[in-house]
Amino acid sequence: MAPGFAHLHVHSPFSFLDGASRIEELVRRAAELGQPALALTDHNNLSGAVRFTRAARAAGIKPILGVEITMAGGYHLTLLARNRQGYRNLCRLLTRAHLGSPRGRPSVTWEDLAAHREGLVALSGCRRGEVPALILKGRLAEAEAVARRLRDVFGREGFYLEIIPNLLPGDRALHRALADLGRALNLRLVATADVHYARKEEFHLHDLLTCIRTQTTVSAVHPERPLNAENYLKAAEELAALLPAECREALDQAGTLAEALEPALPEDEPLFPRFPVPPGESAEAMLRRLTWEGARRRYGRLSAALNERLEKELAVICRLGFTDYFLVLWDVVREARARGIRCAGRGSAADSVVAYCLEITEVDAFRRELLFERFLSAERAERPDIDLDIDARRRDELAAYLGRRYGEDKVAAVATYQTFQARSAVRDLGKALELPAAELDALAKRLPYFVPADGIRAARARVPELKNTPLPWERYERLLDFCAAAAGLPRHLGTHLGGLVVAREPLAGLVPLQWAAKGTVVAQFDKEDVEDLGLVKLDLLSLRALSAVEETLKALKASGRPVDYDRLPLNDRANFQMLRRAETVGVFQLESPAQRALQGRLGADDMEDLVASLALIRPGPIKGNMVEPFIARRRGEEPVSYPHPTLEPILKKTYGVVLFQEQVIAIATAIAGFSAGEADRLRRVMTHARSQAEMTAIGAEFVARAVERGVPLATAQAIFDMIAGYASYGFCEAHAAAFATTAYKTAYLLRHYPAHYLAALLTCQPMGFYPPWVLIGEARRRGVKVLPPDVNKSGAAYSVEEGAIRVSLRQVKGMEEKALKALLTARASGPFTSLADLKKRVNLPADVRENLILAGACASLDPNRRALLWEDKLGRAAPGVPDFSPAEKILFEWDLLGFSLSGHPLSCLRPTLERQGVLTIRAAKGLLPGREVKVAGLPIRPHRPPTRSGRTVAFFTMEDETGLIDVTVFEDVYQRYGHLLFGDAVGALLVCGRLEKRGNLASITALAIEELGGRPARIPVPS
Amino acid sequence: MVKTSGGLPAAFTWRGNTLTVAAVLEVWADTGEWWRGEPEKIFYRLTAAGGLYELYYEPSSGTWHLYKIYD
Repeated sequence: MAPGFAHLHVHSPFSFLDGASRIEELVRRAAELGQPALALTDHNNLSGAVRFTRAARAAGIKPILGVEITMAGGYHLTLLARNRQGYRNLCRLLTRAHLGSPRGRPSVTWEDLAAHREGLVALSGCRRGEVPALILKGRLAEAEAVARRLRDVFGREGFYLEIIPNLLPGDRALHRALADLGRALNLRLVATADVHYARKEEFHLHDLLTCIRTQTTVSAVHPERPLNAENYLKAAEELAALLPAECREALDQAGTLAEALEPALPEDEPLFPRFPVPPGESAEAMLRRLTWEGARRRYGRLSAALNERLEKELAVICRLGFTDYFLVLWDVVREARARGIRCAGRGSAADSVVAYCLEITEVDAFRRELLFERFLSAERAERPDIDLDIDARRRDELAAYLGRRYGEDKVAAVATYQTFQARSAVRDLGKALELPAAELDALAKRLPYFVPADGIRAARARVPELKNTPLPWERYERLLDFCAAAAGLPRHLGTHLGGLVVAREPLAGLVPLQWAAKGTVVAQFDKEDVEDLGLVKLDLLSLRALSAVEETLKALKASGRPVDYDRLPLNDRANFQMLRRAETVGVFQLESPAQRALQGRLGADDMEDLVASLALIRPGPIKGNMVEPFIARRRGEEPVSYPHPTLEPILKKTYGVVLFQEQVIAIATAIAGFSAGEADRLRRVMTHARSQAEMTAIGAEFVARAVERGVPLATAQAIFDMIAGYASYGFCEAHAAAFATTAYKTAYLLRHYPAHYLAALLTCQPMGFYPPWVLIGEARRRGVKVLPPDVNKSGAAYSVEEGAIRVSLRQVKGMEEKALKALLTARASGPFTSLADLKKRVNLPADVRENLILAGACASLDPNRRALLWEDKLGRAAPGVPDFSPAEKILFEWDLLGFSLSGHPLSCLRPTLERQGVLTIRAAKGLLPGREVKVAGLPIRPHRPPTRSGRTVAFFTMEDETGLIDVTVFEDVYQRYGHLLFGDAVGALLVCGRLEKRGNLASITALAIEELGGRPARIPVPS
Repeated sequence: MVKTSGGLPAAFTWRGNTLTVAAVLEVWADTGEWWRGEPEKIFYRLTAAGGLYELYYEPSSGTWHLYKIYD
């Protein structure tokens, strides 16, 4: 009896817009039908291979890996891996097809096919396969020649003629011809269904995805549009009914072939590169040497406790085989320093004293008593995860260095799978369904980013900007169904911003490589898949904050005031005073309204307060209502207590509140005697919100073991409840400490060198929480003058001129690199003396020149902007033309720079606002709390973080010409006015509310919100 | 009116005459303009009484239609 039928030609969503069912759905359907195996054959990629293998194994089905490749000439060919060798050849073949062709148009040559045939089986393919395509054109002799050629490449045992009975016109003749060819060439037939979706009803979505892929709409004709809904995962009986009698054997053959193919994904192979150690020294010896050298540099004298800690860490690192990994990272950091590239390790790696000694991280894990086991444990034996933050502008230099160091063919970026989200689903599917573009744009822009594609209906019921709009929802019902069906499906392959995979052997034999958009090479797997395969990834993350730091230091050095950033005093009083005043706009990680509100009340006076701050303002602690008790204890308004004296040394630095993941591990070890690995398992159960059953089980174990160690039952239970309450808000102390250092230091730069630091922040945009217009306002609030762009004085970047910030020419709308370079090159030979001189010496596009004039950048040629504009148009001076009014100048600047230096847009409205009883923000802040006030301003970054109750609370900051104030909008007000905050065109607002004061910070609780009518208030707020 | 055998049309009535199907030459399915609510159709190209015909069957309504007669 022949083995059970299995589908050997199956497309998943990783065929990118040519597969409509999730991999798990395809596997589930095959299992439901009792099929023993399933193949995955996406177009020119193996991106689905890892999760397909995992899903198939979980369902008890054999995973068969394959690909539908595109041959030279555009013909398709189905390839299946017999074994691991076949998988590796598939990877190599795909890599050659991609890297040997322009991006997005992979093509396999016959020579490459022959060279990589080992371990592969070929099927003649769908109607776009060369053999069937020639038969359909009636060119039977040529079809036979191609079939012979494929038989010659793969042998009779390795090449099959593929019969796909999918009810298409011409099927009968095609199948008969294939059967004849099989008899003539002694080739076997194999039946497939060229599956593109699991169930027939998913055809509609597949057709729409095809429209998106082919850039057509439903009513347009395109040869790749399917004629019918037959490409579903059929039962063997359904296929049998569609096959002509002479082809019935093809069904059995599919089962027989599937049985002969082995799961092919490599497993448990050592894949991480060996570090090139000096002759005569082992990797372990080198790591030890570097660690001890670093320890002496960092600590001077080495205490017994430090020795013991380092020995313990080194033993675990070496036992787990991560010696080379640490050396590779040490080498990257060393190279970065040698090149002057600012970088810093983050994440749980900062729990390691070895990483600190190797200068991979800047957190002293020994002094802070951080737990190494949170990072790496012998029991857990997981791959370490070290993230390096790098000056964003120079991150690619280090990536290129890795390529040179370990071989270009052994390093690649990891992919990201870009999936359908609400906005992209609405736009793409709506366009395919021929809904009006303007309507789709209006709907998509109103969809909040947190709404998934399958959550649009639910959001419509509760999100004001969707609810309170005149959109014709009744027309979107079908669109929303399709959006829900497409939710989360991969749409295209992207490149991870930081992740790199480095391997011991050429990557092309492990994972297919292809071109990334920016011309670098990217693996077809994302970071999880890469790790599942056994490869180790390095995260070299671009961090613009470090770019801004570097810009600041460079400018300070150039101005004769060099600053030693690595040795800044960590107890600067003025810096902490600024933090306590909550003046943190521009400070890394401490600038959001929530952080500013915390800083205004916390009373930070050392680094520990900043470490706690970073852990506190996160969804978990906020939802868990941890912030208020922490502040009260920190301020001495609430007593600090510990359920057991053993907990005091662990929780002292957080005033008895469990704030860090490391503390959970330490408590489990100290109270219940858990080993480090067991304690980390407890931490994982808690922080990953596992099942209640798992929580109960580990809780029982904790309590029992604590009681064994003499802890009273009630106390043991109370301690477990305390750490269980921490479940969803765990934060890694090492990571918080790493970020706190950068937070403190950027605050220091802001406090002591505001012009240089804010100029650097403005140059490095987009970054941070606030757009440029807020940073410009911040500079002014700090007494730093901001000078307009000037064709004779501004550079490409923001600069500092006698203590004032000079706006860059790049800030002017429409200024592209080519025009900027031309202008700066011409200016190098002397300043421009007139508009005519500028036009003579630089060939700027007319619109750029107009923008420069209207933005005030030509004031050094003539302060009268309107006269300059006339001169530009007429080609001669225009004396007597009156200049624009102040309000007009504000409007032009707002449009062309994203901010206005001639005045705040609200200042134009002030006389009217005053008559209406609207206060300036400064005046409102001076009133007593509890007063009802009316203020107007531009809203900054409205957001709605998760809350404990699940009710929505929106927050935003408002700015007028006198300052900033935070506004809180509770659910009822939000439901009435939320569309004014989160719609697609947010403008200046009038807020009526109650003044609140907490610590140093005033805020308003909104009671009503209105849109300010009339110009200039209707100017949209630049994001 | 269509009589079927083994899932294929065996005879059909047209203008009062019953024609026996000599051979089914081709079968295909077409989803048509599904976005306008058009149902799926199964087409049969066949010979009967010396002529060449195309019939289609709509599974959603269970109805048969004569689609084309070749002259």
